[in-house]
Amino acid sequence: MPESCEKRPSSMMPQLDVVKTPIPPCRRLRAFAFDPILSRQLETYEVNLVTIEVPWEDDVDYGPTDSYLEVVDYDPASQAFYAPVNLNEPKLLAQDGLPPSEGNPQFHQQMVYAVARKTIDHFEQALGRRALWSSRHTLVNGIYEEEYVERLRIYPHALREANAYYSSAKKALLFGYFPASSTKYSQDMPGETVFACLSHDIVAHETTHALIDGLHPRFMEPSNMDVLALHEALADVVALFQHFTYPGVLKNQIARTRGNLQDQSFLGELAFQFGQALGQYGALRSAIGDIDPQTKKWTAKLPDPGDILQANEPHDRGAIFVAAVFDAFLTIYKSRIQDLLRLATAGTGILNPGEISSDLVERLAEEAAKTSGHILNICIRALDYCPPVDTDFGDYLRALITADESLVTYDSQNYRLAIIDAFRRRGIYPHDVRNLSVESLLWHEPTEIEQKEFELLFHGPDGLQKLFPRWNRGSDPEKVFLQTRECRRTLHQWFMDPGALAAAEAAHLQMDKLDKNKTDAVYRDKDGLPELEVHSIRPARRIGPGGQTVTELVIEMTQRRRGYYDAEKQRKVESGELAPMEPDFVFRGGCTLLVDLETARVRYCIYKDLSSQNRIERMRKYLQSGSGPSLQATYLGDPGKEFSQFNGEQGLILEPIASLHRLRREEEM
Amino acid sequence: MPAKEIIAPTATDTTLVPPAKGVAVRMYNTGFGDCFLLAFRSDTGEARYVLIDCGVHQKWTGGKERLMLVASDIAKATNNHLHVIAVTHEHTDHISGFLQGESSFGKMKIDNLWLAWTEDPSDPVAKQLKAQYGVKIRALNAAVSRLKLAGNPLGERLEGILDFEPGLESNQNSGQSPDHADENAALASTTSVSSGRNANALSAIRSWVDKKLERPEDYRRPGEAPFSLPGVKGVKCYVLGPPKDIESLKKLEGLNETYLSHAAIDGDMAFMAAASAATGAALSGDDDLFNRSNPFDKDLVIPENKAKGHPKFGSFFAKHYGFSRGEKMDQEWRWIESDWLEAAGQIALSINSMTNNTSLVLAFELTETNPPKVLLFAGDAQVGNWLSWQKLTWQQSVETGTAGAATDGAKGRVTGADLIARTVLYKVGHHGSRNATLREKGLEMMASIELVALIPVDEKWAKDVMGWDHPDEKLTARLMEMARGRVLRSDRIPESGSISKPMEATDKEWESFQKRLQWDAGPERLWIQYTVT
Repeated sequence: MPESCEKRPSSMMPQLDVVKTPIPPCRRLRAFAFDPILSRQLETYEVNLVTIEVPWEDDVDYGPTDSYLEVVDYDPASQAFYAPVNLNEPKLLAQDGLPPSEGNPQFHQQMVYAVARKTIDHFEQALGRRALWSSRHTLVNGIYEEEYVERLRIYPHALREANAYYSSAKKALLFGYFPASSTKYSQDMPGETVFACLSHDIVAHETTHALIDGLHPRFMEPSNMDVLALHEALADVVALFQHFTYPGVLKNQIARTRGNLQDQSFLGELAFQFGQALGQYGALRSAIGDIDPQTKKWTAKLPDPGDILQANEPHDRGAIFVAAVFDAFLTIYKSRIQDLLRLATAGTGILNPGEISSDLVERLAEEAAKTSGHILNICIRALDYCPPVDTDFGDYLRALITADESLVTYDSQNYRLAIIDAFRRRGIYPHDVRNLSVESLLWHEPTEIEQKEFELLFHGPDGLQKLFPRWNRGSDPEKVFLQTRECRRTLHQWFMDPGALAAAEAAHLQMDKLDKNKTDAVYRDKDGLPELEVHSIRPARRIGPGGQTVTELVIEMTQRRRGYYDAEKQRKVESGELAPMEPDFVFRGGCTLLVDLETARVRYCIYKDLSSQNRIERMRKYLQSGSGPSLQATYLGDPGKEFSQFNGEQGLILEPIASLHRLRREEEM
Repeated sequence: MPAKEIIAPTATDTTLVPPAKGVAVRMYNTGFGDCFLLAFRSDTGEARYVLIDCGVHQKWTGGKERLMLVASDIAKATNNHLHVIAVTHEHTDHISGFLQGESSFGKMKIDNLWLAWTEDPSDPVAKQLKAQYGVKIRALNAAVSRLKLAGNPLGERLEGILDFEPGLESNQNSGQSPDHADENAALASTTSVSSGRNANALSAIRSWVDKKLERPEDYRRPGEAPFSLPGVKGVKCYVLGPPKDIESLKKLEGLNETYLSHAAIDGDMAFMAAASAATGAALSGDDDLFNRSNPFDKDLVIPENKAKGHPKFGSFFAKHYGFSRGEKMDQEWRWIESDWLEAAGQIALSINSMTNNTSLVLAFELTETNPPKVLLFAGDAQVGNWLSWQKLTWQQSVETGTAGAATDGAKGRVTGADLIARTVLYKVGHHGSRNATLREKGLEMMASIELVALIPVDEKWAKDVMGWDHPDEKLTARLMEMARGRVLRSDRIPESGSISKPMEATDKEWESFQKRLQWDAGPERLWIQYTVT
């Protein structure tokens, strides 16, 4: 009926849209799986290509710029800008983005975006909420103001050195490039440029630093020797296991080595290769294993509980942590493939010589990828179960176990045992537990009397709703930010109420009121009450493997106290003999409360006492001993000491991650 | 304590009298710097003086006045006659005093000058080192000015390190201009390479000395046969460093000079080319170097100065980065103008270590003691230099073989390790920093129960003014243990007539140690002195 068609009023025309184009589930972008160097070798060329699937967003602008990230390609050393890529250009949409190319800065922009966005996605999946960046603090008229930071900025070509770092002050990732020396990178032409932003590992590593900073800004304060080590180690664990979640990469290796199933060394070797590409990042994998100088073959390093006692430098300690997590992964993977092996070998478990069947390769890779995903989730989720300050490896082990227990009550695959065992073999134990059973590693649960106090404080489940920001994966981030700030204010008021004293005590906060004319080392408000910072309130919503939903509110609160290198001075300030003066370092305490949203019961209270003499002593010793025999520390400053001074509000802008990465480089010189 | 009777430095007693046997070692307090005067006695009973270094760090306030005092005291102590001046390396804190105290030194009779082979203008390796050094210093100079202009606190700190080096005077930048073009102009005018104070000090000494250094063999090389001091029997001098092997000297990323003329750019070159370009000057006269050091082809680049007006992306860059200060206040905090220049820190440290590693290291062996005692003057030697001593061996020739008998079992052979093991006086390297005293292959080998350590340092200035860890706490603690409390410091010259006994020493040990001590009791507290016999 052509006639009627013609007569149809123009407003009716969009009728055609009734057949809606579905929103694509993801945006597919090509990237190097390792880094460009492997694309030079024929046998690794194919493994090195990966198409990363990142969550779809309609409005990805030039840059790329989306709601999380903005890539700005300014290269100050070359006095140059590079044109930003437009990922929504149809030609690019049709071919999964630009093809990998070292010589095209727009591909670099695409790759950093893809990898960083994937890392964010892993965090959001594990935590069940939208990721936020750490807010910016500006000093306005002597008061710190908190400013919302919408996007993490990425500068793919910011530095002219073998370095990359997350800048907490700029909320930006800075990547470097440098001419390769012919000796170190045998695949390179001498003088050829190596780009840090083209290494999948480095991008994932730095993005993780930024994400952890968004969760725990205080994790960059080196109050003990594990704090920075943990930052590094987690960044590396995420980079490593994010890699393993690409089955294509695993398949190739499994087929090539026939799984090497006796000792699983192929995974270790692969982990090592990931780190190889740029020297400094490989170091964290060195505790897993190393190339034997004689046989030139990769050999796994046997765990020795004594190693951790010898390691005092953040990277050395971090390496041991990474190795422990990797051990746990191997144990779990091994047990998960037992049945497959038996099936494939008619029950013997011994493979016939020759190539293994592609079905088996497929299934083994799937298991390895799945296990990686689990480990990744567990490690990220544990971040919600850490004390807000002064975390050490032992605390993190407890966080891992508690986080997993609260989601997966029945541990049918023995994940928790595998993790505890791996940490035990590397000599990582918490200070404060009597044995290494799952039960004793779980965090402290408040007593019934304490629960009553919390109930009063929160006004039951209904009152608790006032603290609950509407915050899930699809929320508008700025609204979330403003809302949580309100929630934090509310909770702060509740705690500062004189009637909340018992609840504060149950949360292990210090709430004693000091008389007007008296002083001590604790930072107090004008009424003589200890200052309290409600650091963070966030929901943790997860769906367990059995389909159960767990919704908890994570509340973090901190307090601070002045610290002095001179113990006598400390004593005098504590006792009020001396008026509190500008401290040498700021010592923090506080707690993390995990509150069940349904019942308003506090499931766990994870705390660091502000009044602990042991802890302040430990911090003083740590800061005074410095971070190792380095020239950098002598002349350019010790990241640990200075950061603490920074918190003494001397106004220095410091980049602990940058210093940390540069320290590493100096060692290699 | 009878200390007051033992120590008798009076205002009139200004000559340094050597002991009948052995040596008196006087450590001057120059502020933050090295200056050691050694007095030996010749066969005919006359005094023989060796001066090792004389300098103060440039940023130490009142350095010139203090060094003039030191120089005039040296002149008096030696009756205007130095038999040897040994310069360990060309850092201001070891050499500035020769110019600052020129009015005294210039009038003295100076017989010999000892310099390391790295100062030999005819040595090809030395030449290469100097050339690389020059390139790096120029680039660093540029980077420091840029950093300071951007208000980056690292600028000040790097200047502190570079103040050790010759050829740099601090750049005073007046005011800040908002525009890059102006900045470049301002920089270009402030970064002209100065003539070089330290180099001047060295040429001054060269002009004063009687026996000119002309031939390669006039420069000191490790492993050369031990030699004696003119007219002094019973003392042998060994040269331990700087090592001839360039790798252990450098232990740093290579910067091969030849690459300057090649297409390939290696090591720190790319950075340095850009740092120089940022000030509008080309590095080592190579106009194209900057271009070649850039990571992408020219046609992919939107030059900084054209980005603002770029038809397609100008607004993107303006929105996401911004161009000049004040235009978009909410962008400035994310600018990365000077972050890349922070890499200069590593280069500055490497160049500093490099020069420290070229330190002339001397061991004086008192051959008439048994086992022969050794005084070790390590300059500011760092790891590479220290490690190289382990490989050194000297065969005792027949005529000089007197020491051979004492090195039990070694059958006329002396090794670097022997000398370290027999050390009774150790001049602590690099003002007690943690990287200039080797542990296992160094301090831990010094087994003598007589060990005494001398640290020239100003801890208060280093920590409070510069923020440096000199001396390192852990090293100081270990030195105290190893030397049983006998650690002398130039910044701790006693106010009273005695030094209270530290817990590491017994009463008896301390009493005999104090008997060997003297110090300047005058208001300036210019020196402290220890006698080894």
